Amino acid sequence: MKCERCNLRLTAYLDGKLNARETRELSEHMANCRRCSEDLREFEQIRAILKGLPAPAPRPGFWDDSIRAVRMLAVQKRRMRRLDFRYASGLAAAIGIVAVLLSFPHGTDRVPLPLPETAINPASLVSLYARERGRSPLADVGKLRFASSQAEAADIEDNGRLDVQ
Amino acid sequence: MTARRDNEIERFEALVREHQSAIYRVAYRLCGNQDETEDLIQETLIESFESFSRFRPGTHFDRWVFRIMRNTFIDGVRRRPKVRIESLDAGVPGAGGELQPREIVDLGSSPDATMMAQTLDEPIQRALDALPEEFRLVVVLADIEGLTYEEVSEAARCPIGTVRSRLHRGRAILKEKLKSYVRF
Amino acid sequence: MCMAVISPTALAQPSTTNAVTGTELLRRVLAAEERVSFRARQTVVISSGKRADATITDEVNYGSARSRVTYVLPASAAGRTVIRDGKTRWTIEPAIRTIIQSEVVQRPVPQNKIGAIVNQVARTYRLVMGKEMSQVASRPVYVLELTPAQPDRPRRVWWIDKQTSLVLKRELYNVAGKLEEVSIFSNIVINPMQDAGLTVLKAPKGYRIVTRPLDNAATDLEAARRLLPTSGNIPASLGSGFDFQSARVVDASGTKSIQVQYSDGLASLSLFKMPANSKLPNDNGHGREILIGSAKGMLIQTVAPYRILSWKAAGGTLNLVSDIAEETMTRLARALRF
Repeated sequence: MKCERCNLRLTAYLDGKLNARETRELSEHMANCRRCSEDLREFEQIRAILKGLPAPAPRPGFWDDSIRAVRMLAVQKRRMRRLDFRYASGLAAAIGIVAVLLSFPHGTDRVPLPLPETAINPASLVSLYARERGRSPLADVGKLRFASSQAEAADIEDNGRLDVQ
Repeated sequence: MTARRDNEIERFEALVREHQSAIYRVAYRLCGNQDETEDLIQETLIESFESFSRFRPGTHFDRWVFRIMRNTFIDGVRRRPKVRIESLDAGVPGAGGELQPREIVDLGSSPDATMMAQTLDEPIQRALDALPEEFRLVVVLADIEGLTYEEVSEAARCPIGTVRSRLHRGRAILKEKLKSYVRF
Repeated sequence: MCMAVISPTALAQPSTTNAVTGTELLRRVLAAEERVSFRARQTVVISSGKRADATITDEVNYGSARSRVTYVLPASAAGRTVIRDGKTRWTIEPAIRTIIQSEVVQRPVPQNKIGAIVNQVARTYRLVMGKEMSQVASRPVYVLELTPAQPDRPRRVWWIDKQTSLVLKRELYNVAGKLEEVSIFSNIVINPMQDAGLTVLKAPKGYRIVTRPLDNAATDLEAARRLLPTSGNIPASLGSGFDFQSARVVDASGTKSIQVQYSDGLASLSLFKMPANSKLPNDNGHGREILIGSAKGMLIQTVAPYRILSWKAAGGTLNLVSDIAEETMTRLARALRF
């Protein structure tokens, strides 16, 4: 077995996902290959470190707020139904309503519907700026390479589209 | 109708409370900061409640939520600006503005992986942040949350072979990224 | 060190440095862009406040828009490769197994346009030649400082290769006078043996190719004003030396918007006019409110060192993007009639 072939299987080996034959081949290879057995140890270590990461703590009241938001949405939907509103479905609309609701005291009957708005993605604006800048003479090539390296993969040369919601 | 809805939300709330730590943990490790974690969870909960009628009682609620979270997360990533503020590879600027290599933690002196994980929480999170989202999702579900390949495949909506290769690539990238912190 | 060390070369050519003026050097730089063939590694360090980021690329440029740039760092972009064969540009993006194909737009500046660009730069910047002998990557260079008359836009220092007029090293100082960018070429080879294979796309297996539609753009003001009937009267200048350079139609959620680029020859600004229902970006609440006329504007800096100033105006939402001083951006925004 070659090292590359071995390396590709280390994760599966570690997780006990190889069949008996593959496991035997891999074990034999590693017995004679210091590099691959080192690699295995490192993979094992990474897995252990990830497993041992401390549990992040939410801010106090976070779960209460979140559940209240869902409750309000449920109440709101019932009202909507009663009033026979056919309001825009979809997540954005739902969140808009919850956001508005949260700013109203409990039990308020009149809730304005949010206007549909298009959010502008700032990173896309910068990426379009950088693209235009890069095409002109005396461009700061390095700085633009940097701007490009910071952009999300999908944002590169992004079809001239602004990435909007 | 109303009564059923009330009952539904009671059941939903109870399940959320029961699994809140796991939900928070996964969301936090995907997002890497509190603000985005909160947004992701709230969006996910709203989506989950919307389709709660499709949840089969008796199955794992957390796995079911992860599946919805995956969509919310991947969609969210596509529409949010994502700019890496600091590169792990760049070193930290010194007092004079020059680049210096980061401090390296010697694993030999503290062999306990849990201790390591605690001291390295921030660099690990940043290394996670730098993984492509689909890889990060698989690593978080498998290695932090301890899901089986089958469960990850279900939650991440990809074939088991893909889980295996993403997990391998993901761990390999993390291993490289953390080399400057950990002497294996 | 108080004793000057004079190299034999300097003694042999005492007048070379003095014979070249700043404007002449700028002219040579423009004439060399996209014409000189070289291979090098480029390292860029950008520092903004407490952060510093490095980008490293390996670059081959054969001139005439034929080049290959491969990203080495940061890790998130490692492996990204941009190939141009003179006509087509491909960005190979391993992270998403995608190749983005588009038309090559960058071209060498025509000889008859060089004078106009030099004059434009000279209107806003003082060009001062460094006196001392200097070398970058073991090559003799001229040092040229480009200092803006008003300190509201970046100052630049360039180290220019004496033989080829390539800019081998650049420093950029932000409006606060802090060093913001250093980019430098290393391992440079001029006129390398050309390997035609490097500037041809060999698509890796399993990659999808996405073709970007042809640009709907104009570099002439009259043509730009005809690009989008709804865009209104594009101003010829924003003031402070920023003159119209180009315009392009961009797509915002299915609605056509226009991007207009203004430049003083070195620094530039993008102006986006977007549909009226666009929500001002607020950088998750970190943005700062600034009054533009009677409209509430929002200034954000999500991607340092670039700032975005957005506000609602008659007929749309306007956004300015640039790395110039925020006071100047605000002033230009307040004076803008579009």
